[in-house]
Amino acid sequence: MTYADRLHPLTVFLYYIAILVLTMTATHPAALLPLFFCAVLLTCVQVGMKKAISGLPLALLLILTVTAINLLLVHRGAKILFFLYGKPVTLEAGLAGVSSGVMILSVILFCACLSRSLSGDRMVSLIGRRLPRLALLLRMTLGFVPRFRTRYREITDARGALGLTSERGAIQKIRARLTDLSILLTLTLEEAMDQADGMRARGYGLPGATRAVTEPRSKKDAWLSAALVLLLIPALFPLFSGRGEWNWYPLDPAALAPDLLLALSFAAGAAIAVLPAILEGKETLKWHILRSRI
Amino acid sequence: MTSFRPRVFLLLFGGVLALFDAFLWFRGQYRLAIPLLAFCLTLPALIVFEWRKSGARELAAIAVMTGLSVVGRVLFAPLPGFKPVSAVVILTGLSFGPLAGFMTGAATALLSNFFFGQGPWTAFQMLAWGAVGLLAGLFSRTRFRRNPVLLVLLGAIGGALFSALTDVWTTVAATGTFLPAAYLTFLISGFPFTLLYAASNVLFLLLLTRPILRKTDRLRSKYGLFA
Repeated sequence: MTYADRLHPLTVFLYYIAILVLTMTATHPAALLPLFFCAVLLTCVQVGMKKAISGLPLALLLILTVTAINLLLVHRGAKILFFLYGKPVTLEAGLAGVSSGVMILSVILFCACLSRSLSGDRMVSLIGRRLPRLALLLRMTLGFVPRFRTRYREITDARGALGLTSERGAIQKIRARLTDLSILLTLTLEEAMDQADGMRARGYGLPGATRAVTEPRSKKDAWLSAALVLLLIPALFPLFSGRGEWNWYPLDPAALAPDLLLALSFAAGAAIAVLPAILEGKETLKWHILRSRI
Repeated sequence: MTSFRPRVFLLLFGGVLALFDAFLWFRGQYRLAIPLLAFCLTLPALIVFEWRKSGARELAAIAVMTGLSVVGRVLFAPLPGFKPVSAVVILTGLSFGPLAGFMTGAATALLSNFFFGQGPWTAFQMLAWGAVGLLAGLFSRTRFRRNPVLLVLLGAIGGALFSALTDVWTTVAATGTFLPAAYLTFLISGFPFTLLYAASNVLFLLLLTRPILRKTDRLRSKYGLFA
């Protein structure tokens, strides 16, 4: 059980949404780099060092591809490195490409961490109260996915036992598969109708229904939400004020001048992003210590 | 009162999101603004879906079709670009109408990405598949429903739309703005894949239309669905 499993799904979700918004709007390298390190740290904590390192070549490939795309497609910038087919290839485009690649990688890592912290089921329970019909649709579909598989096996087994799938030849085989699928669809649709009638018989759609899934809120949720709000105010300051906006074309050395206010707001953003890693990592560490004692 | 609150919530949520999106646009933060815009464009259909009081049977029928396309996408995962998703979404639209088509497409993108990986691209996939289902749904009450020309057209449009929308994300993610020249390059370099999407859509549609429409029509008349 991870730390996020014990929190209310809304707390976890809001943290990740805040981190994703901060990452996707981070233009300043000093804002992006800490967020990137947090993404790597969180991934290492969640999947373990070995697995994280095995994903390294793919990550590098992504950054290199994005850099190459920028070098080849964006021709703005003052420092021209060389000309390719009469089009200038600029230093700025390369740097912007590296920064783009790092940002995309961070977003992908954070998204992967989000789906590891919040299962699809808990994510659906988040919208359950506000969007009951959509939540029900998603939940029913999630139920149908494994059911399709078991039903399909039952159908092929039954038809195989009856000797109906023993035809030879590719076209006959495809035809047999299509018949299996067709039976599957009929069976599942009829089953779904029965399920819907059962729901109605038990009072689906009547007013005054209560929720089947109850996610308790603890004191931890309150503390973490309060921390999130307090940290978000300074962290979102650059986005709303436009201060510290970074331009790659043209690169302005004055933008690199130290700025206490900006540094504080970037630190606040990094603090939001590092919190999940610290909380999860603490649990993992404790787990290892306790286990080694036994 | 209980049936009223979700509507108010959705309208408020959509309004705040749209305002935030406009602000991001004004700031030049296209990397977040454009995926958010794609998500905002799926909201009207979600609002209408939540708003309408259709029964449990309709919901169950949509859930089955969504489940079928999710399973199809997962089963065909080893073959890149060759997926039955658009075909199933189009057939749902042709069977159950525009809203059911949109919901099947959008929910398929959302749910199957729990297997394939969520990200900002989910919004574009939701929009692309949803729009194809919606478009197909517009023909659900016409007599061209089984017309092969319409099926080929819908399959091709489905493939092209999916490419066009996901390439918007590729462009914005890679370059940080929406450069038309870069977008064009992505479209051209991705053209073989677009062809593959369209061809697989058409193939699946030609194979599946007769059996699936027969079943859904029977279901509709037997249970009085989507009347």
